[in-house]
Amino acid sequence: MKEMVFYPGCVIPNRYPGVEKTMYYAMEKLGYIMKPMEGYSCCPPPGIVRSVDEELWFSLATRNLSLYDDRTIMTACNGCFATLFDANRLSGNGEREIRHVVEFLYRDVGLEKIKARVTKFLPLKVAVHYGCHLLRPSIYREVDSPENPVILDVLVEAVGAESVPYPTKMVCCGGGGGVRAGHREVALEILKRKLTPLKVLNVDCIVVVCPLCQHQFDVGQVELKNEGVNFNIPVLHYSQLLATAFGLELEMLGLEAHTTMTENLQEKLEKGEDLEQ
Amino acid sequence: MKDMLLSRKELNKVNTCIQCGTCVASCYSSRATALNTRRLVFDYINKNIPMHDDTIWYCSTCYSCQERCPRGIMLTDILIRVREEVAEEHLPSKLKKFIENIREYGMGVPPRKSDIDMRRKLGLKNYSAQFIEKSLKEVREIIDSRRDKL
Ligand code: SF4
Ligand code: SF4
Repeated sequence: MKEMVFYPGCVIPNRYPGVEKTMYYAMEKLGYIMKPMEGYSCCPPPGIVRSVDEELWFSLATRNLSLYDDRTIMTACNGCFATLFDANRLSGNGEREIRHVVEFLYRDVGLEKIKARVTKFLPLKVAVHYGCHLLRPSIYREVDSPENPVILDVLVEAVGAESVPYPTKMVCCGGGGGVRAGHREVALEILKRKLTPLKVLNVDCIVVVCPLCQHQFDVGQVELKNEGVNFNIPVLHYSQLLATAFGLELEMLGLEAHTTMTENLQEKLEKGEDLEQ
Repeated sequence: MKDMLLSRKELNKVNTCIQCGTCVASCYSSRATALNTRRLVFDYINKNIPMHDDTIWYCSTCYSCQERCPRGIMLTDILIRVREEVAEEHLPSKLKKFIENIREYGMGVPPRKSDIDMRRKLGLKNYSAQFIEKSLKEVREIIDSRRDKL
C-alpha cells in the first residue's frame, strides 16, 4: 500500500460526497491509502479568488500545500488541481507533486491494472467531458493533448463503457471562471450550446472528472428545464463509475445528491454487463 | 510577489497581437455574450479598459483562446490580471460573497444540512478547516491581511 494525501476541495464534500467516497474506495482497491487532508480550506479557485487578488489566492493555496509533508497530493477536481498545481510550481517545491486522479490512473496505475480489478463491467454509452483546467494551459499541465485528448476515453472503455464522439466534446461546460457563481444566465446559455448535440446521441450519462463541471451539468439541466429546455442526461464523476466497476454498492455512490438522474442509468449500473452473453 | 503567473515579458507580448480573431472564434462565451477577447487585448494595450462593465466576468477561463493564439499571448492569464484591476473598482456581489464564505467557513461552497447528512450515511468524516478551530483561524488571518484589496 502506498500513501498519499487527498485534497477534496469544496464542491466534492459539500455537493457530491459520493465522489469523495468513491475516490477513497477505488484508490484503496488499487493499492493506495489516501489520507484526508485535515484542516484544509477552499483551494481557492483562480477564476474567482485569483481574479480578485492573486496574492490572496497564492497564500491560501500554499497554506493547503504546507499541511502535509507527503510527496503526492491527490485531487479529483480540475479547479483544485489547477490551483494547487500552479501554486506548487510557483513555490518551487520540486519534491511535492500535485496529481489529478485521471492522469494518475492513466500514467501511474495503467489500464491493465485497472481492468484486472474490475468485477462488474458497465455497458454504458457515455459522453466524456474533460473540462478545461485538467489540460490547459498545456505548456504547464503536460497531461494530454489540449485539443484531442484520449486518456478519459480509454479509462471509461477500461470499465466496459463506450465513449461516443460529439462535436462539442472540448467545449467548456460554462460553469468555471466565476461565471456560474456570478452570472448564471451566461453559464446556462453556454451549457445549452454544449449539450444540444448530445440530444440525438442517446447517451446513458455524461462522465466528468471535475465536480464543478458535474454541478454545472447536473443542476444546470434542472435550471434549463425550468426554462423549457429538456435534456435529462445524468452526470457521473469518473470515480463513481470506477468504484461501481470495482464492486461498490449503488447506495454508496451518493446518487441522491444528483438532481438529474434516470432509472435507466441506475439499472445499468446495478446490473452491469451480463457476462453470460 | 506580483507578476507570479504572468511575467512582465509575457504581458508585453500583447503588443504583438495581429488582431487575427482566432481568440474570439475559439470562445464559446463570446457566442453567448458580448465578451470579445480581441477587443479586450486591444483596450488593454490602449489602457482603456471599461471599469463598470460586467462583460469581463463572462469569461469561463477555459484557456481555449490562449491555447490557440498564434502569437502565444497569454490571453486568459491577461484577462484574469485585468479582472484584478477591474475588481478594485467593481466586484460582482456574488463573487464577493464567495470570498466571504471562505472567511466564514473556510469553504467557498459551504455544506448544507443535506450534505452533512449524506456524509454521515457514507461514513465520511468532516475534516476541512470549517471543523477545526485552529485551521479556520489561520484562514481568516490570511484573508484579513488582504482586507484592503477586498
Ligand atoms: S488570437 Fe492572439 S494574435 Fe489573434 S487576435 Fe487574438 S490575441 Fe491577437
Ligand atoms: S478563456 Fe475566456 S475569453 Fe478565452 S476562450 Fe475561454 S471563455 Fe473565451
